[in-house]
Amino acid sequence: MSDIASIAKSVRDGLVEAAEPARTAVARLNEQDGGSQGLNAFLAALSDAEASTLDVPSDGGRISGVPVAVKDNMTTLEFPTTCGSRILEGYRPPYEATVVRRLREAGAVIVGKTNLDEFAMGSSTENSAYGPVRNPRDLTRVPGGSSGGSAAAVAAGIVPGALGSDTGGSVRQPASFCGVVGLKPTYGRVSRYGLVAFASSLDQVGMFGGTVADAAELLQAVAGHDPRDSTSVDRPVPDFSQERDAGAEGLVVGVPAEYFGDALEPGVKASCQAALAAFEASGARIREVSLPHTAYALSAYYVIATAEASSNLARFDGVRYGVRDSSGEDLGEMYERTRTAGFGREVKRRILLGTFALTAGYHDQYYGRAQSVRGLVAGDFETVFGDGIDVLFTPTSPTVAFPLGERVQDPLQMYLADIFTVTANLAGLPAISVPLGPSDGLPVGGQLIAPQWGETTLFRAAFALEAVVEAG
Amino acid sequence: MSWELVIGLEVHVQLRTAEKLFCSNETVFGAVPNSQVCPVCLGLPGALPVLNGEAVDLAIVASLGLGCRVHELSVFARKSYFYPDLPKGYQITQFSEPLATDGTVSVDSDGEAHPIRIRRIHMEEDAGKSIHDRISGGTAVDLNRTGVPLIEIVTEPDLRTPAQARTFLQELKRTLEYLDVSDCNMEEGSLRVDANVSLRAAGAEAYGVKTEVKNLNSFSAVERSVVAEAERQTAILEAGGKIIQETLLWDERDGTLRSMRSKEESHDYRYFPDPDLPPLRLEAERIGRLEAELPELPAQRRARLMEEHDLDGRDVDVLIASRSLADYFEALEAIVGEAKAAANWVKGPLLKEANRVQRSVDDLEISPAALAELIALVEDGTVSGAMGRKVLGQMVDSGKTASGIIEEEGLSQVQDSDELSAWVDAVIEENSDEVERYRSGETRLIGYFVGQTMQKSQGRADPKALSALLRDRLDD
Amino acid sequence: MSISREEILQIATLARLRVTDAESEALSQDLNQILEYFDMLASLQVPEGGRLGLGPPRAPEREPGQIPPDPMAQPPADSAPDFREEFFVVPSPPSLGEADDPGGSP
Repeated sequence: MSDIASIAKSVRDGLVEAAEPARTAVARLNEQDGGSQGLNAFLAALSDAEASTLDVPSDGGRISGVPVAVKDNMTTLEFPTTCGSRILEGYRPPYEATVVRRLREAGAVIVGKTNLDEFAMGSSTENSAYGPVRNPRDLTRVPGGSSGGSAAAVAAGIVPGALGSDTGGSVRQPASFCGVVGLKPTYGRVSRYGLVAFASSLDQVGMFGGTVADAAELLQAVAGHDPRDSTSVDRPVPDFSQERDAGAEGLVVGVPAEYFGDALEPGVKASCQAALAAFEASGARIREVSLPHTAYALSAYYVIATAEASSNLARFDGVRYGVRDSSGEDLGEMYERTRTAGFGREVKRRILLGTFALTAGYHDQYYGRAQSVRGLVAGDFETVFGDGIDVLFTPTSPTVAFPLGERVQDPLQMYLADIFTVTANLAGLPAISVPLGPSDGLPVGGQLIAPQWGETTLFRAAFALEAVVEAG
Repeated sequence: MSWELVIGLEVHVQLRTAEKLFCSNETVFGAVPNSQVCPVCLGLPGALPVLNGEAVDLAIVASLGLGCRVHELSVFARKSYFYPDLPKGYQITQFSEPLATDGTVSVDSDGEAHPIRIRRIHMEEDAGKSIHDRISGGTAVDLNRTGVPLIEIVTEPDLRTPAQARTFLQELKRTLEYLDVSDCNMEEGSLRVDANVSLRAAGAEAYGVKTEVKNLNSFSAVERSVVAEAERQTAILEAGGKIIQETLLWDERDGTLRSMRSKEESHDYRYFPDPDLPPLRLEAERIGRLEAELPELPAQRRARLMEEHDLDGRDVDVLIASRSLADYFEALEAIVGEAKAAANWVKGPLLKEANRVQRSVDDLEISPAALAELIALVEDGTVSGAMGRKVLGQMVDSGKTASGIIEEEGLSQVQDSDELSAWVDAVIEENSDEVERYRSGETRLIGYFVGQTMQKSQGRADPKALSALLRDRLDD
Repeated sequence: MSISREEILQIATLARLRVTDAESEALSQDLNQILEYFDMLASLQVPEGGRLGLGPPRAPEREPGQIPPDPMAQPPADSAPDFREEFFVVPSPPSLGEADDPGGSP
């Protein structure tokens, strides 16, 4: 499938009927997604009939006629929103997420809702109540998670771009596993209104694209202040691609030693080193730096994320929406049965962890301390960016995509998959995963992290890295 | 052993805003159930709160008016518990960093002014309503009230008697009304009170174990429940028992307290800062502006009225009992131009009428201008003072103007001597015994003749002209 | 730090989740493994307080009428598991009359 800008251009120029790209996407989706060996990337999608009668204006906007998939934790009027959970089976929200409205207003056609780890909790998309997603690059492996459906949909060429959400790496890590580009913007850059919250202070809507340019196009369409989200920031939205052709010349790239330790798979390490060498050859200045609190970041992240999640998921109580279990006698039993039957194992585990971390006796020891560590992690970044570093380069994930089922029984191992990505969420920084050279035929992603609001620089570096990797 | 009663109050006050605290739904009382709702206050997945600036202003005004220090930084926190009328499973409130602290309300009791300290005032959203007897076999939930802005005012345990608690609440309510931050309507739940009650041995410094009394829907309920709880605790302590910290529910119908303890309810609200809301930061300039514009408080109003008008202090105390009454008086005085007359009419006949029909002065629908017209008709002798008070009653009942009623019913005073003569003649004829006695020196009977003639004239005879004529005839 | 099965049951009650005895065994193993990992936080010297400023530095405040309520494409009744006579309906609380405030939230 061609890239977003070309699709939009051919639609605007009248070379292609406006609904045609969406019909093509639906046809590909039907070929690849269903069946026992299908990807299972979509939880809802336009039917053939709907696709054939689509009415798409050709002058709809910047991404006219571009088919886009949206992770099923963002509210839509035309599709149910399940968050991959039993508790929201068939739930039709009566309102639309700001990002979804902005996509539509920019001319995009939302072709379907993608599968995810339940409530975005997971790193493999095996925690969906509607079955795991397969990695299009190797159907025996996970696509990463939690936005595995969106990553797989783009990697399989069903859509040129998709929205995901990134709380601790849930866009970047699956992008890395599936060999596509995955972006997490600065916290506050994109509205969270209509994104079903996992951990509110960490969640940010992110985007997948086949190329860096595709990710930039989607960010351009949805970024900007939303008065309905008090954490979205009112500041101008730049042209994110304005430094697209600036190249790597003079770019100061910091390489944090803490991200290249023992946890890193040798194949991933080799890909990263090759990319860095090519980067340097094209004019980037590579400097080793230190982010000393990195080792504590994952713990702090999981304490904060589960604490917020335990509170965010309290609203799923069977009272106003969702699936209720009314087999019990009274209100207390209704709550317990509804939530016990409605949530999957990992979600329950995290609710329990988070509840524990907030109880009076443990609040300071866990939640309080994690917040302090969060400040230290953010401080590490401020120090290096204040010291002349333009962007940081790290591996996105310590490993390539692992086999389906390998880690489901070991929650801590699963959590460790996020070890390199959680830091950007803790500090609220923009970060992107760009495909590097493969390891044993499996995709590897390199992560770039920029200062707060530094998306333009982040994209400059990502365009340059993409170019050197392609050239290599 | 003698015990000292220690009382602290927690008062929830609904702020008078057009919109809810975190979304823009209306806050009208009594609307169709579940009609004033949107994704935000229904707690739909993905919906987010946005703070109502009007509510913040009102909360600041309330805090300043109660003498509190308003903090430039305060933080919204989540308080977690499950209940069907709490859609998100948590209430957005303020916990460790409240809006305001350290205020005082002065309460007069036993002829002395007692400063009652306000520990803190914080902002929070209201919950909805659970109605347990509306639908058979279940609980009905109405979420219209969900998200309505409240302030919670928490006192230090400075109150010592149930009567003092009641006086404090009356003073607090009056102050909040003067500040115009709430309608303070207890029937509609705009002002709700919980009382913390404990006992300590007289002279002891440490506080005893306290209980919390809830479901107090009137000031008298506060007073009565605290009396009951103090008696209950005294009995336990006298018997050598221990008070258990618990929440008690006041039952207004039979005047009893019930324990709200529930075995599974291990209360742990798991407070933490709401990540959906950045901290509330207030510029000193904004606080200063609201302070400068603070509405006049009762004490200031009293001083001003005393200074501007030649009025008796006790009269002024009646006039400032509520902001609306004081406003009414001032509006009336501005038209009538005579403070004494205006004051007498307001604190006398007008309040009497309000009392008769069980409505507030505002709800009588007698505008200051309408009352001023009546006062003018009394002053110029068109009707007597007594007739004027009757006319006011008819104005309240019929909604008609004073002049309309006087004209329709022909109530203006009769000074015409022919008409008066006819009544006087008839009275003299009907009371020949009394005439005899009068003429033989019992002149105090003049009052009797005036009364009889008045009755005959149905109160319309001008009393001055009448007594002159009577004397004239009787002294013949 | 380790968490006992009893504590797990208490926390589950707070979170309104039901945990069977068999599950609590496995859960306490899982959670203890994770908490043990989290305990590295305890070894770190951290500064007191200090809030990390993400998003806007201060809560935005809306004026009356500035942000109208987001219209609902379907009425609340459409998504509710049980909605009768204009009300959401739930089973009554377990010990009504003892544990619950007739006025609503405790």
